[in-house]
Amino acid sequence: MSRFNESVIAIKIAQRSVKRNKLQSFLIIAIIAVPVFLVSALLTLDASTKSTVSEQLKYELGDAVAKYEVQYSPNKNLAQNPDLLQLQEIIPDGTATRGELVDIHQVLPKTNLVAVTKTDAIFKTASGIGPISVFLGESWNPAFLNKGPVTLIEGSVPEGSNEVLVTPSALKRFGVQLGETISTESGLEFKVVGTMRDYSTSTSADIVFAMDKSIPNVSGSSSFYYQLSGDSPSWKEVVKLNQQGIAVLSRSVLLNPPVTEEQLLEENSGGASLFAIFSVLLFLVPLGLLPVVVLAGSAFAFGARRQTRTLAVMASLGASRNTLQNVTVTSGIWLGLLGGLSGVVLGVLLVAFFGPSLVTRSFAVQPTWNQYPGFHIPWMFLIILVIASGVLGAVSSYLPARKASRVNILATLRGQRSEGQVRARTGVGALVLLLAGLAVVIFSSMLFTYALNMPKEAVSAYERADGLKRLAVYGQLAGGIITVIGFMVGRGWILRGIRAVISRFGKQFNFAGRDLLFNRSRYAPVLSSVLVVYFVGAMILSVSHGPMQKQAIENAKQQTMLPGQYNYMFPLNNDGAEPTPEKYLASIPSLQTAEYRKNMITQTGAFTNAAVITATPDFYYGAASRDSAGNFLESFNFTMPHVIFNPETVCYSQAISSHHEAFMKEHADVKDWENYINYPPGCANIIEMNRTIVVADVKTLQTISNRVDPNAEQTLTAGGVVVFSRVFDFNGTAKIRWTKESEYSMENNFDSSNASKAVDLKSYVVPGMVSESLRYMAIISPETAAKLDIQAYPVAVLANTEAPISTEVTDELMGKGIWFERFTADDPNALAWLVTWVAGIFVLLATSIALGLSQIEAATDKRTLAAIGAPKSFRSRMVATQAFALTFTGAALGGGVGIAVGLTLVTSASISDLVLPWPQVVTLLLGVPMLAAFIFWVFTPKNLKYEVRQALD
Amino acid sequence: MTAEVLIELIDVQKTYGNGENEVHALRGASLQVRAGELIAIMGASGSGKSTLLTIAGGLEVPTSGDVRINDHSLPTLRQKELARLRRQTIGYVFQDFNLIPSLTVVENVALPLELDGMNARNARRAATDSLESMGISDLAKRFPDEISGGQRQRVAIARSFVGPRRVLLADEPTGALDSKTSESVIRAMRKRIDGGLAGILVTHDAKLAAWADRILVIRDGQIVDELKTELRPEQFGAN
Ligand SMILES: Nc1ncnc2c1ncn2[C@@H]1O[C@H](COP(=O)(O)OP(=O)(O)O)[C@@H](O)[C@H]1O
Ligand SMILES: [Mg+2]
Repeated sequence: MSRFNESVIAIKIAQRSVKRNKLQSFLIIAIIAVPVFLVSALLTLDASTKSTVSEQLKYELGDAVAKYEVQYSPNKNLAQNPDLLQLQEIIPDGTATRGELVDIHQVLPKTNLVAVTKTDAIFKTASGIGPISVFLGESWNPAFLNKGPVTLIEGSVPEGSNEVLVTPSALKRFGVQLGETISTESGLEFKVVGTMRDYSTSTSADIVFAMDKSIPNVSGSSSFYYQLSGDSPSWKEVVKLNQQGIAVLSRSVLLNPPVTEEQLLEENSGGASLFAIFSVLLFLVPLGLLPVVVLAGSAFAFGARRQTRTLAVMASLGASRNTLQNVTVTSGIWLGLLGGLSGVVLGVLLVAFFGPSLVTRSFAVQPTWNQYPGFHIPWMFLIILVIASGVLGAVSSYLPARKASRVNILATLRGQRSEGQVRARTGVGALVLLLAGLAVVIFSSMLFTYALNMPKEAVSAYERADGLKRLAVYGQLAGGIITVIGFMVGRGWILRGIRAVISRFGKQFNFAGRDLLFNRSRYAPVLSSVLVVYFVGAMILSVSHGPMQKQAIENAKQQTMLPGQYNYMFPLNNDGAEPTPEKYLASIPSLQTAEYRKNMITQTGAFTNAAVITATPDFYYGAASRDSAGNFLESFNFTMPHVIFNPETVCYSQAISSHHEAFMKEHADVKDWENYINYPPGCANIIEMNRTIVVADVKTLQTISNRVDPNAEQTLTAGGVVVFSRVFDFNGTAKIRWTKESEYSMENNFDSSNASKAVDLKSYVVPGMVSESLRYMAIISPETAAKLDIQAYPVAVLANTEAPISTEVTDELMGKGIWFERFTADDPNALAWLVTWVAGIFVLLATSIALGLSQIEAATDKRTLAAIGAPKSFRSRMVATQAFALTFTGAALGGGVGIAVGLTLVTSASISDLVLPWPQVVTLLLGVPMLAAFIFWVFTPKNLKYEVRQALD
Repeated sequence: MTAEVLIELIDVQKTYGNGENEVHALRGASLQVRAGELIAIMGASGSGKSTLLTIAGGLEVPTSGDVRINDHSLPTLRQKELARLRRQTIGYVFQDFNLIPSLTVVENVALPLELDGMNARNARRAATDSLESMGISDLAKRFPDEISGGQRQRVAIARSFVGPRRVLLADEPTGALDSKTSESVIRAMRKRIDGGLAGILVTHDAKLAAWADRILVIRDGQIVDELKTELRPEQFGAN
């Protein structure tokens, strides 16, 4: 018979069986739709966060033809990418400076430019005072207003320099109405004439839009110049302007980008991030595919079994095996396509309605245009996704189809089951896989440790170590997957185990257990689905709840305030000039000591505790570069011992540097690095941030580390040093090095070789860093400091809160003269709950669907039970028991392996310790199975009509 | 002139299981059915009636002996050829109908033809003819679960002789039907067979068996008796 005819019949039967078994088909479609929904939502969100040229033009330029910013002093080496207002050096050598900047009006004398300057000013707010962004210049120019960059929400535009627009959230922070007046701390008053949304910021940004020069300009602000008329500069002109230190966004260049060979610059850290993305993809693709394939596979197994009787009838009518197989595969494709399509539609709808909220993770805050330029549908990807779902349908129904096409016609028509015994062979296979998986995980962890500690004298050794580490990470992942597959292979034995356990609880449990084992092929897919989904979910949860997030929230709970003697935080005079320290101190004499401020802080009651941080002056760090008398102090360096002893850590910190390779090649001999102690290339950031040594007693140590740690305190009092990161510790020792300022100067080319003094101290690493511990990376006791003749000065007041504090609180405190560095962070707990929610819903959906399918199959048995008088309570308890037992076992095994792999991944890859989010883990492990049991208990029908088992499926 | 032999079983043996569980379902059964001839098989439950029929229909393979349908020796045929024989030559009626629930009545009947490569329209026309001859063409668009048991069986019979079939096998086709319906079903079968088919009817019902040309009695897997029935024209009516 013709292939075509065959397919027509196959499609017809497949279509019909989808239509006629609505609930079952719906569940199968849903099981495919759920993962497709997640993937297509992600793809659509990704597409919607990338701007098109027209969106970039709209939001960056409005009706303007070009936008300019002076970023560096003139330099032949400077260039930009056509679509990015950011200058970079073609050959990065760090010679670009912000010394003498050109005057753009002289460079472009004939061009009429509108300037908008972004700066800060201290305003009186509803609860006190606070720093608020100010955009000076005609932000509401008709070329921008309602043309893309800004939208007037209410009121009218300013007509004089005493009128301003504000963002709605700023209006709230000021606590005023339209038409009322706001004022700066220094007494300047402005009438708020309207509210405006600026799309370059999120709606949570507090901004005041004022006329040029209406508020004294503060240094450190940035100015943008908009060209409203005439021709926009050509790419040639842009290249010339770049060398003047001016970055340009030109309408004509954006519309007609130059050919690629002229785009010389890498995107910001493009090379590194591309690799990162690639390796993340390598991780996620198999991880994400595993549940999809298993879920879809089990769905099609149900689908194929549902069809066996139809297939047997067809076989008895003389249908060939090919035809039978085609029918199954066709219905697989059909369901796959439907599932894919509905998943894609739902995913796209989710982003269409909640895209902006997903980006900001808040319903209240709208993102910037850059974060979410517009709702874009990635048609290509989505069509591929739908087709892939069809292919997945075909592939995952192929095996069941082969099996179904070889049906024993008579046996099937008689309604015989062909369920085998639990085969011993699968038990052995499962055991082998489990042991192999375990061995691979252990071996990979050992490999990682080896790669971390292997001696690295030459550059090639680093490359080899990097390769080994990557291999080890993949190994850990693969080990986990092998273990999970082992469980899946041994699912018959697991069901046996479940039966053995639950049959102890009474008659209906016994029956539930027997049913589980007897109809193994009905329930095994449920178990596999739960196993895999929990494996992936638990691993993501344990990895995502990593130390980094923990640290971020700890940081946000520590707020620092600088003591009075630092001039750079002084508020400006009304004329914009900096007041002298003397003038400031004279005006607020009581604020001059750190101790006084600490007392103020503790009196507010907003903090749990506070301490004055006394530290060695930091040579580079502006805050500590002068004492209260304005003199430079002797400079102290705390050397990171790894620079000398532990090349691995250098490699670690250099991962952030794009010059890593070049540096490594140049300095293949590790000994050579000692010459770079004060400024090792690639380690620059860390070295600059971590130069001071804190001199503190035990109580202050407790405040800084925000915990009580007897070991740390003992180290401190015994004359040792407490460090907050393993990078400062080498075999229990840390090196303190300091430099005589008089000998470490410009005249001596900052050569530290003669100026340095150094001493090794016994060290103790406090695990789990907090923000200030990174800055004051080491703590010694006052006694040790005295013995070593190290002087320390009050540099800050540090206070701990229970939770990150709001602007209301900081404004209030600033109003009382307490100035903060305000940290904010995403609550890692909230993130973990988010992951838990998503994983929980996914797991619940997946298990409910799989269980629902199995229960539909079991309906005839349930009817028979009802017919012979089993009460509803018996049936509902039986179903609930099965739901709980299957979900919980799958959750415990899959989740256990997932957490174990997540743990080994995090602990071997990270220098910090892992904290498991226990409440979330327990919710997933116990809550979801209980909910599943409850759902099936509730939805057990009261009256089941007995139906004679007819020759209809 | 004798008509050609369309069904021939030669010393067919069939055993199920082995060792202690061994069951001799057939112990050397032989028979011949010619074109235009309907034979009935009667016997106690478990005597091997169904086994004989499934072997004749190529649904089961004999342990020994030969089965010839329309000059093909079934045991020598490959899977594919057997499937073709089933869809082109043999019509099989099961006691429990075995209709496909997702297809309408007319689609069920047209299925064997479509499986054989006939285009849908022609297959449907032939199916409608077949339904008409069973007097149920008005049910064409219904689904199997929307009609009665007797109607279902008539659909199954319509399916069994749709198209150019030569052999009709029916295993207690009227087991689930009342006597009036049973008679109309057997009447339709007889009519088709008179058009040149060979048929085997397995039944408990002597009244139905009387429609056959010969009645074979089977006991413990062996054909033990053969009764010739007299043709009584009034039974065939004016049809
Ligand atoms: N698939 C099978 N496996 C084992 N024994 C079977 C099978 N099919 C039939 N039998 C046995 O073969 C004998 C004949 O069965 P069958 O042909 O169905 O009898 P009938 O249709 O006359 O009632 C019976 O004893 C029955 O138990
Ligand atoms: Mg029988």
